[in-house]
Amino acid sequence: MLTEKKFNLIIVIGIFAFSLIGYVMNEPYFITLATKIVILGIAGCALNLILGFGGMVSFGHAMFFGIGSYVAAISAFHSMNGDSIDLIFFNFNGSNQMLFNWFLAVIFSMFFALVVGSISIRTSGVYFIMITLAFAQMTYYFSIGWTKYGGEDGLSTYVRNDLFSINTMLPLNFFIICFACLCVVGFILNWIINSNFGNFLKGCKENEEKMISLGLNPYTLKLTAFVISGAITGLAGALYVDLNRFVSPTSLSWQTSGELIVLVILGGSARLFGPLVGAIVFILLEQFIGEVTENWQFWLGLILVLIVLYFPKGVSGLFIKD
Amino acid sequence: MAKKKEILKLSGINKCFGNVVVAKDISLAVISNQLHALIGPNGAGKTTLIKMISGELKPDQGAITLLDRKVNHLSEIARVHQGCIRSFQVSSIIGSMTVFENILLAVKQKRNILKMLFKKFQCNSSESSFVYQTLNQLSLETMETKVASTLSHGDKRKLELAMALAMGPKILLLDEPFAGLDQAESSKLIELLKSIKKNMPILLIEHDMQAVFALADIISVLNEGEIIESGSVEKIRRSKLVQNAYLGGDL
Repeated sequence: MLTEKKFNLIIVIGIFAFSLIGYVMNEPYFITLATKIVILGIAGCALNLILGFGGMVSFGHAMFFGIGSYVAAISAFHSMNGDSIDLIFFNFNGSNQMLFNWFLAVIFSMFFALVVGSISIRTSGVYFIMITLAFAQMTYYFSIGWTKYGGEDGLSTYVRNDLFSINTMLPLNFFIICFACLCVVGFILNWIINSNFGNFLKGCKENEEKMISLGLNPYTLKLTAFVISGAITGLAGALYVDLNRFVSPTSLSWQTSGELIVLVILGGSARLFGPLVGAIVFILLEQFIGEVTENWQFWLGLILVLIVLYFPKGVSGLFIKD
Repeated sequence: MAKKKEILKLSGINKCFGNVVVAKDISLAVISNQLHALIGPNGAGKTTLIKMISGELKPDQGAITLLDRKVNHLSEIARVHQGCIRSFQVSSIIGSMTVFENILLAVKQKRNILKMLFKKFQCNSSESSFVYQTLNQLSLETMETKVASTLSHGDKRKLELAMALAMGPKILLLDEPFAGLDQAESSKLIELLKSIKKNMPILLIEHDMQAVFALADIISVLNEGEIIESGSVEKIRRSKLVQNAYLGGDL
């Protein structure tokens, strides 16, 4: 059994090594798989902040993932086409700069998280699940009808955005960019969960009435966590657009929300990098069982049932000592 | 002799849930360094009264005054910040955290929340000495690293009390702190509350009459939402009205 710190280090080094092996073996697909793991891991870790540490089961986190994706994609799309968006006070020509598009994705996701969270957090339990799902489905159906940006068919951006003078089209370069984002997100989340705020949040998950009697406002604490989580999920969405150079309404669908929850449960909730482990298991299952049978989700479901029944602390709980 | 000061004052409190009257013109005062016990049969409205004082429920009529300031309009959280700290009928702690962390949570809330929110959850030297002082006061010093959910019922009660004390209350509202304690634990808690009440006004709701008679300076008896008698321990012991309504015989 390992300490959580050591385990996290091994996981992160393992993902990096997997990508390097792909580079050495000249198998860019390995690198793409590692990149996908990292991006989904970021989104899962963001959801884990509210689900694992705050006890809020959001069934609508695809909304922030999709909003981040669409915002980054629309900005890149206008930059590529050269036509501007009329924003009443000024015309926005889009941008092909990754940093700027990430910034936009985070700001928009934060804003939506603030609006959705301020309403949803008034509820709890099954009502919270349903209200977040309802909000996410609203954005999903909006994107389907938004024909200007591809509607049902989605929107292609063809090339990756630029970051300084790095050639982002090289899989290893883009992987390293995503990996750096994972490290920064991991650092931020680690800081948050070990802070006073993180512990107040854990208190709210367990005993909201007690936190009120301590003079703390659970609503504000939970809303703050929800907004931070939404912002990081939006960043993951922006990275996902650059990975695929394409965004579609699927990124906003309830299936995507469900997949994010699966990552958290599979890997282990209330562990910093639990969802990253969940992403590794998820992607590898999709990849290797998917080669054998089209119905790989059946096996994923079976594994999920076994994990929930026999290993409630998830896969990471098998290796980490309490 | 130090001047007695009214810390908490209730004047003409009324509360109904539909047609059911749970508080009828209740007036009482809790004086500094006094333990005021509130007794009465189940369903008399004792916990409802605590909920109104702490701000969880709003009275239909009447005034709640804390340290000469009317607090009817204040939220539950604002009243905590005014120093009105309560404990619950069922032990209310954060079970997954250690004893030390539970008390640290209570200590941290007193600080400027925006300044300390994203600082590491650990105590500085002054907080540390305060936490240890509280642990010692409640005889919990050997349990500081224990996970709270693994404590015995009596120790959970003590931890909840420790959290309340760590918040630096102006008044303590204790809702049946003796519930579920055995004789030995009750005796210890009586001694502990005797030492606490020297410096702290306490409003105690309790069914354990041995504890109430050992601790109370003033007792108010609540029956069907109404205070039927109020006074010293001896007065309550002798009151025929109280014996008929609640105590069920001579004591």
